[in-house]
Amino acid sequence: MSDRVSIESTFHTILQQGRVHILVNNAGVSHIGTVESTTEQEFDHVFRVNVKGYFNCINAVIGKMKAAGGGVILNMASVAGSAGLAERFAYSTSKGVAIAMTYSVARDYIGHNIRCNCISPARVHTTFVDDYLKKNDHGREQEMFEKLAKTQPIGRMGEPDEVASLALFLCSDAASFITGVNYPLDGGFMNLHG
Amino acid sequence: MDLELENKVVLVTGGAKGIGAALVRAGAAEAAIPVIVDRDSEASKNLHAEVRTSHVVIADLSSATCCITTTWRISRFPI
Repeated sequence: MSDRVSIESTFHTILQQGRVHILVNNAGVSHIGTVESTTEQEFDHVFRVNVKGYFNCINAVIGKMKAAGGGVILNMASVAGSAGLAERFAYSTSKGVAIAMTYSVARDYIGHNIRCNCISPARVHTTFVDDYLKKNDHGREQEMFEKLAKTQPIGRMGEPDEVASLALFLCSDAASFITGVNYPLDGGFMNLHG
Repeated sequence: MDLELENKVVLVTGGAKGIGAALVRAGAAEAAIPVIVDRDSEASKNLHAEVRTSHVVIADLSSATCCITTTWRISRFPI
């Protein structure tokens, strides 16, 4: 069976399941650079994925959520959207937009029983981090990993499971009174100093 | 923890790896129906093999055209 048939077949199964209750906008790209070193093409690429991608998906499901009587949208933002991090010009700007988009959608659809929130993680240990270190700090991966981890007051990076826990809670009815909120999930990065 | 997500359809973009994959696994553990939307077909297939209740849609969401394809598919969900 080719991949395409497999995907189509799988999707056919999804169609039997019913509506989209929850959208989690999580797909994103990172970028390193200042306003001077970032090219227009790089800036556009970051915005195509991190901003237009979110818009496209919300735009795709919101009408159906309205028609179905409600839903939940969760956007993955970043502490970079609220704090000035070194050489994250395009990425930070895109995540600031994701936070603003969250507030806007939450406000516009509160009367339709659609909640919209976002999570702002700090550094999370994913394969992206490992690949980045392998590429840029070959031979010193462990040293650089520890250095990056220690920039967070809690002394380590977050784990994907820790983000997933908060995300699932916010998507559930246990969070039914929560909308239009940006949750830092950052091991103390935003608020703990000294 | 029972978050009462049973049979809830959860679209997770970038769901094949990292935080998205963790969310797919956690959602499945809560008996939700995770839909992995990702451009990485290999990683999506691998995660689907691990999380058998998940579904997969391959799409590059940075492209409006691709997203229209995805929208078309989603729009055929009975609501």
